[in-house]
Amino acid sequence: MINTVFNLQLLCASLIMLSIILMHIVKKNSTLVTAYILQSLGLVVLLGSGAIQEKSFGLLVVTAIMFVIKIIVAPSLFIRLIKKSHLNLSASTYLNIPLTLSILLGILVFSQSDILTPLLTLLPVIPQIKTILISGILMSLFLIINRKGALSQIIGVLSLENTIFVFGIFLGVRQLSALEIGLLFDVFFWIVVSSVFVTMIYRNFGSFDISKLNQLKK
Amino acid sequence: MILIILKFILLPLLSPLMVGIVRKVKALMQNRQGARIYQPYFDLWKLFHKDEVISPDASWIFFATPYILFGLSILVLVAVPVFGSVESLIPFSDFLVVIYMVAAATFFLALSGIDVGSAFGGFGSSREMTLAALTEGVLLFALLPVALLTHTTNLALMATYAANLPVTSYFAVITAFLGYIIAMFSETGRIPFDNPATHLELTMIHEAMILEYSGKRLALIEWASANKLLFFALLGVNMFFPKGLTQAGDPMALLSAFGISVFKTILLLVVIAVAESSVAKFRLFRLPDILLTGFILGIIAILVAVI
Amino acid sequence: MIATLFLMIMSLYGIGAFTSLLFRKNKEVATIYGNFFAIAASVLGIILGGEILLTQTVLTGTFPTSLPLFSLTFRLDSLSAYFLLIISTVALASSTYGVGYMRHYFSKYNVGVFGFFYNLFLLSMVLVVTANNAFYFLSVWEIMSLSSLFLVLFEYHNGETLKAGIVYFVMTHVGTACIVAACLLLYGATGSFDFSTIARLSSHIPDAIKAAVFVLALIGFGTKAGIIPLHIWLPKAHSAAPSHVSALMSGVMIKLGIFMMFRFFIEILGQGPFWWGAIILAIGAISSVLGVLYALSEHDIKRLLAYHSIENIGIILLGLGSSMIFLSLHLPALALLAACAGLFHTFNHAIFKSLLFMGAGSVIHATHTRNIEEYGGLIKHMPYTALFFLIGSIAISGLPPFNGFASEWVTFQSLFAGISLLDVAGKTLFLFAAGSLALTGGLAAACFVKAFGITFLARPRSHESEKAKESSLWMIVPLGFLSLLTIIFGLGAGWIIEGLKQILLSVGNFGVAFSSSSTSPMTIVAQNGFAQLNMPIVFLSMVVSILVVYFFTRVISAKQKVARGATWDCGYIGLEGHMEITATAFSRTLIMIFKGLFQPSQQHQVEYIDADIRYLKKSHAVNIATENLYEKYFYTPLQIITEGISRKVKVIQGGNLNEYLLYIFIAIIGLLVWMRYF
Repeated sequence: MINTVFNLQLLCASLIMLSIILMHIVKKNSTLVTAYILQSLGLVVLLGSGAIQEKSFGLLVVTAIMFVIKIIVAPSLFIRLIKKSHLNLSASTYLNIPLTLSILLGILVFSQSDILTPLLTLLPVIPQIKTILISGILMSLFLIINRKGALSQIIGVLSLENTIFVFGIFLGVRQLSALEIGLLFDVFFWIVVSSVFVTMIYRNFGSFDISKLNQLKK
Repeated sequence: MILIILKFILLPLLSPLMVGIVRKVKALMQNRQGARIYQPYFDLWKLFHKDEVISPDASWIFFATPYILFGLSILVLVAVPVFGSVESLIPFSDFLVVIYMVAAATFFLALSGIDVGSAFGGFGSSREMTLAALTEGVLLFALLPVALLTHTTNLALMATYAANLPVTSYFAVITAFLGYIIAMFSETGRIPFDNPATHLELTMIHEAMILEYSGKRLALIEWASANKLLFFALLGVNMFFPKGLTQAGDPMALLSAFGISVFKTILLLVVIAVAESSVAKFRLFRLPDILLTGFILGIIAILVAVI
Repeated sequence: MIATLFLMIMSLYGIGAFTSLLFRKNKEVATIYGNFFAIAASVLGIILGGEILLTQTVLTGTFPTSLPLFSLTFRLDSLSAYFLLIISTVALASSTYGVGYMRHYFSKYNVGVFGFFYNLFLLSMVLVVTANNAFYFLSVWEIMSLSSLFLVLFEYHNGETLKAGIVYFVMTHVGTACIVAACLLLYGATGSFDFSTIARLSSHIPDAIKAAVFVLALIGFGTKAGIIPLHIWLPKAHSAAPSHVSALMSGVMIKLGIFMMFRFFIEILGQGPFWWGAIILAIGAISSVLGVLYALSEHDIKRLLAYHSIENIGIILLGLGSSMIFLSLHLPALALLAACAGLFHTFNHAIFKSLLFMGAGSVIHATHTRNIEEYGGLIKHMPYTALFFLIGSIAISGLPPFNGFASEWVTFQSLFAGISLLDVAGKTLFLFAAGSLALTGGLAAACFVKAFGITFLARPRSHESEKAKESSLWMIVPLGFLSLLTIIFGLGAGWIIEGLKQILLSVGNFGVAFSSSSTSPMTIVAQNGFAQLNMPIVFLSMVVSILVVYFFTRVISAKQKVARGATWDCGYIGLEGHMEITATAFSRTLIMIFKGLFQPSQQHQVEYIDADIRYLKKSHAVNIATENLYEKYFYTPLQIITEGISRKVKVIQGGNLNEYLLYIFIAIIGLLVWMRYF
């Protein structure tokens, strides 16, 4: 039983990692959202399996809420935003695909190197997971850095949040369920507020592009 | 030895069926009824019984290429495991050998494209070699993680050991498989790399090279590309999803392993046909990006595979 | 017996040189003397090399001289014998080829002088691999450089050739200067110029000196081998020389740089730190990829082949580099395998590269141009040359079943071993190397589809290639000989690898001799059964499979006829040569993909029928040029700096005698002070 759950969790971690890589290479905003759904799905299954294994009702509730927010509410918000502003193809990046992928590789190599060893001795997990976790966080960060569109950046932040969450789960830091719920609502409001904000920006200035928003100062 | 001869005869006989299935699924996806799945057999039979017209500019390379192509395509098919570990005794079942045999076939095909002196053929060769050059690395790096995980480069052993890998290596295997799919689409000339159903001069790659072929030589080339499709599908399912391969040697076990392999292959081909129907063909200059993505996926898989 | 053979070889080359010079008035006779003595000497060289390898003897000897440090010590161990075998094999083919090839120089140039330098060049190469004293080595190395320089300058009426000669002259001397410095450093540390003595004392050399020697030797021998970015002389010089000399330079001379790297880095300096191997591996990876990419953008057939030499040197260095890394990590078995890969590829490359250069020579001989765009359809006029060139192309592209594949396979295996065994830094490095090698293989195949396809296939693109004729038997037979070797080396890969292991074990630093694997030497086994390759079976199964298909088709469609009809031309009647794809167009896609590396520029020259109505074009020429980045960003700034410094230094050269006397005075006082206090 424990073994099966562990295997499932491993697969979920892999799914999360792959979805981040997918986020880096897709051009369409809608595919980006799909990748985010996949990632959240991985997270939910991961958390849910943990909840079932520990027979913790609180965790199960958190999982359920997370499912609603991350897989149903947030993506549908994004999709509506994309449809409203006809911005499906605006996921532009600073670096082109080859360079982006090379940096991802660099992150992967970095997360396996000796530099992180003292930090990672805290983590009671196998090296494969360590690599996935650390590089997942760094890659999400890089997604925020690399993307120009505000929407992709929001998704980048959410992905970062997801990866940190997974990191927390594997670290074994079992927060109180109430705290987790609070965190979730925090994120939820963040999504709502930023979507509203983005919609307003779009309505007023007609673009999401950060580099164009920069020019507004002048 | 009997097994080799059996595979040598059996697998090429199976490959046109696979092409038929892919075509059927694609037709259904496009709301057409499509031809029967046995149609490729009839096509081949018809082509084998037609006379040929060959350009006076053609040299012996043009004449010999179909035989070389078909011969090599059967060899690589024989090298792929479909039963299980018994096939590790096939002496050329090494993954580098197989990759480079595929490359050798492409080399001759590209030469024959230039040989007749048609501008189509030349550009087809140029594009084909461009893609082949970039794909070779992707293919190699997609198979290498499995080889490193199983500590062997023998295809049959790779497949049978891969069935018993711990879950910790799944991430590497899945990532490698994604890279492999990209390489497979490129090598077998599927959309988004090449459209096997088009003869539009601006986009065709594979068809441009074989434009001058007719009769039995065309039949051989078409059949060889069917073999190649079967080869890549079989290799894909049995390297990355090797459940069903047997370590035993008795005929019943072998037969069931073979059945499972074929079933998995058909499943993969259906998925491929669906995937192919849902994307558009890419511009030639965007293809390196996809291939590079596949390459990087391979590297990620290797980095995660051996820690 | 062995010593006699060695002396005979040297004297035969000597006789060849001087008789050729003596009879320079009579061109026929001079050619015959120049080449026949070389042929005889190279046959003896093959016998001598084989004899030493089989008997595992080491021949040493010293000719006493009156100078204390300059002793003519020579030492023929199995590594030297291996390279002697390489030199002699290629020399045999190229000397035979030369008999036929030199004819088209009869009217313009002095063939006798050529014969002199040709024999001198061969002789000096034999002496280089046998030299065992640094001074003596440096002098024969210099003779080798200079004699090859004169061979490059042979077509001196051509301005391009002179330029190429100057670049070669400068680069080779920069290299030699570095080697001299390295040897002096070694002398300073060990007090001896004798290579064996230095090797014996190498453990006492301080690490800093070793590092300096490594860097200097890498630059020095790397220049000769043509590693990137020190390669700029190579495409120029190789394309300027007569083809069989290019074959010798590309097939053999640049390998002597590799030979000396093996001697220095593995034998003399002994086990080095990790970064030595890492640098060599990185250089190998970069050289291989960039070499083949530059080859793709060439349409001068000899420059194309020359760039491929850089690529193959890169592949050899991948073997050497990984061997050094494994040595530094105490993994002698893997180091042995990697070094074998490097040495094996060295011989293979010597064979197929000289084959290709001579094949290109035959084509040039028949069409009088080096531009690929003007060839086409030559397979019908020159069937044998085409066949042999095709064999060479397949081999150099690393495709089965020929020798290029075998050595690339072994190289791959050693890189895989690095990937699976090392830590993250090493793994990344090896991944980079393996990726480069895979890319190189693919690009090389693309490049040779271009080189072979555009040259030999389709219709002729110029008048010259329409009336080309097959070359004489003198030129075909060596090509056939080398093609045969290509196949034999492919089939015998397993035995050769076993032999190479013995050679390397005798050279040293690979730890104790371990038992060879239990399988027959027909199979190459890497990493304790990680991978196996049985070349004869691969060859046999390919042949059988293709034959079966052939007969099967014969049976199935026995009654069908073959008609000849024109190539489909969309209804336009009369396809011509200039409507086919050109070499530039063929590689354009790849050039555009790697445009960051090439920085290609496109020029359109359009001529309209009516300048006012710009619809109907009379002609449209597209010129795709690629920039030589090394000259632009590395050598030109270097040149400017050097010139600047020279101008500054010029100030002290006043031309006044008293001034110079003052310098001498100051120097003497300075020296005296230095002697007293330091």
